[in-house]
Amino acid sequence: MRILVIEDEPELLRVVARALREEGYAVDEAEEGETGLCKAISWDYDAIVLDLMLPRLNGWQVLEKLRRAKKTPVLILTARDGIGDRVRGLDSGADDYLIKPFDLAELFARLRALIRRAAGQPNPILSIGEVAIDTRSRTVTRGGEAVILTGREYALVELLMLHRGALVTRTQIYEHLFDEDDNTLSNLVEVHISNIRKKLGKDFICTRRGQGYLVDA
Amino acid sequence: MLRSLRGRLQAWYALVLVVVIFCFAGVLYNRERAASIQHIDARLDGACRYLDATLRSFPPHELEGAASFRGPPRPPPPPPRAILEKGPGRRDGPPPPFDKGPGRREDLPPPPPPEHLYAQLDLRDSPGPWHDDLDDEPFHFTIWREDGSVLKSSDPLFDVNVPENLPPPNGSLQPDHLQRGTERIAYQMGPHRVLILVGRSMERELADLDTFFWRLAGSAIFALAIGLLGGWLIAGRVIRPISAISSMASEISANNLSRRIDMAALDSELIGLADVLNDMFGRLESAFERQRRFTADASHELRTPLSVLYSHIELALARTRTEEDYRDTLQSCFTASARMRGLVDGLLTLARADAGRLDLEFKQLDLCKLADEAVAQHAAQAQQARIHLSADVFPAPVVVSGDSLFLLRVLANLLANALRHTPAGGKVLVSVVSEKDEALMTVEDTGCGIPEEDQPRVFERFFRVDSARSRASGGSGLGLAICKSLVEAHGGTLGFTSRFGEGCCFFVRLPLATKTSQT
Repeated sequence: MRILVIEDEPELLRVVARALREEGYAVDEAEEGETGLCKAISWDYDAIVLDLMLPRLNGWQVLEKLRRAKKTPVLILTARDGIGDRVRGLDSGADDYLIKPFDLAELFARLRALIRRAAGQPNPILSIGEVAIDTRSRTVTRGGEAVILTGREYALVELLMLHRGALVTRTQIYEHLFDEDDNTLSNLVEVHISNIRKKLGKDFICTRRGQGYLVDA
Repeated sequence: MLRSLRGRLQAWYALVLVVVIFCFAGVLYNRERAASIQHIDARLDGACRYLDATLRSFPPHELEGAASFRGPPRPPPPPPRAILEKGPGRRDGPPPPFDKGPGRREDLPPPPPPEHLYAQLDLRDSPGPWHDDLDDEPFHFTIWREDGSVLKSSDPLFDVNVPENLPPPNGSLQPDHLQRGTERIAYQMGPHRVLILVGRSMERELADLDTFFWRLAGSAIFALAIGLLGGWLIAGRVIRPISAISSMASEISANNLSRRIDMAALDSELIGLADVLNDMFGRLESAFERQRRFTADASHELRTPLSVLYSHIELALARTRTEEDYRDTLQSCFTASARMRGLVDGLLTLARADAGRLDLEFKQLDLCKLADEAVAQHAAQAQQARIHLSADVFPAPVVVSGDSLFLLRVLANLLANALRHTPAGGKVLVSVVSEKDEALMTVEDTGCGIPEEDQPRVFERFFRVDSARSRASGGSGLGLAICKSLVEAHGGTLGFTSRFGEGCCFFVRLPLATKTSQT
């Protein structure tokens, strides 16, 4: 899953981006409102972490303009804790509101919830056939037995399962697995797909030639 | 009660009302009484005159009693004062013998008393000025001869003795008057020194006056009561707007400082008061607003470095890291902590300045030396940034009274700002001059200047012109606010001029030490 973090405090941006990457997310960064909005509109992020007090364009303005174009889930991360601010933030189109200082663990949990919701899969545990993934612990079991996947493999499986029954194109896979700074070669996706098939079964992922992949409903 | 405005109003009003009403009633009563007495006196006088006139037709010997009616006029005997002024009214003995005087002839028997004249001495049926058809109160009269014998009395039961303590008649044509109990008496000297005394019971008149008095008193009290009640109500109505104002004012608390006293319904005298109060509420509101904003801004500012600190540590502890990673994390934590510390220090200074508790140590110091010192401190930084930093100070000492530590801090802050906002190749100049009774210290730079729309807010707490950049370089937006507070605590002013794109000139004015007292 790919996340955009828009935060003007450079140290905080650094640590949040790093923490999210360690969690297996692809992370794009922006230090002020205009760039952030630009990226948010250009790409299909799975979630956006948005600070309110930004230079150039402030958080509310970014949110307002974003909502005209996209339905990306937005979590507001800010030091402004007044009830007026919270109401305003949520009413302006944000999906969640987190006050600084915050726990990274809570940030992750809220982002996971937003992503689940957006995909229409409210259950944190997704299962197809004998394969079940627990999005909370980022673990996969097959027939009850744990299966070890790499970070990228898990991300791919999670992506396909969140969009179960729907075709996921290779472009989309790229967009959701790699951040803008990633210069990965394109055939890496095939490598990941074949590795997953080895671990979870050939039938787990269907290939639509020339179009993309999907997991059955 | 005397502390209340309404009470005092009421008391004064009551006093005036009481005085007026009772004076009025008193005057009314006394006039009524006087009129009543005067009326009776007039009638008594009339009766006296009638009797007097009638007596003048009496033969003298009748009037003189046993004394001879013929003969040469003899020297009058001493007036029987003893009789007039003697004690209790009862006669204590036979009348004193007549003094026949020398040369009295007793040869002729006294003529018979003129019965018709005696009959005329009557006040009952004969009409006269003393008569009042509506009044049937009888007039009593007694006439004494000079020797004390009674010539005639209207009522044999009437006291026939000369009343005691009767002051002698004044001898004029008007009768004297006397009040004896409920009786009104008029008396005068008649012909041949007879004493005419006419009396009338005033019982009914006095009773009427009494009734009048009580009616008057009752009415007065009633009027007083009504007046006081009315006064109380009116005072209440006048005072009511004041109570309304105070209750309106008391409703305005910290929660709803935006409310104001409604002036539409007030009297003109109170509008001034309401105006002043509304002004005060306005000032309170903005003071509260400033404070609320300050608190919000302060907590917001502190949260950001705290958040950095917290998240760095949380992440570092999430799994085992390399030593480099830990070092990196610790460095970031250190920076964030330092930032928080700077913020806390700044906030504390501002709080102390606000409360007037900076504990400044005022000493005589030379601004020129201070400027030189500040420039020296920043020389290395300036050189590194390739900015030309110099000082242009007055040739003679410019002495002010102040705390050198705090003033140096102000200057250092201004210098740091100047260096930060000036590009390489630019200039920063610190100058100190003495003007009349003021010291003027300026920090001028050729940097980027301050945009016009931001200029009014430059001294605001937490205000940063370019928030992203200065936040990154550690500025919290408090520097200039602190400088202003510190300069003002020294009795000076801090200001600036700036053209966007051309640079800034910050100036500090301080009173010279010769004019201020040494502390």
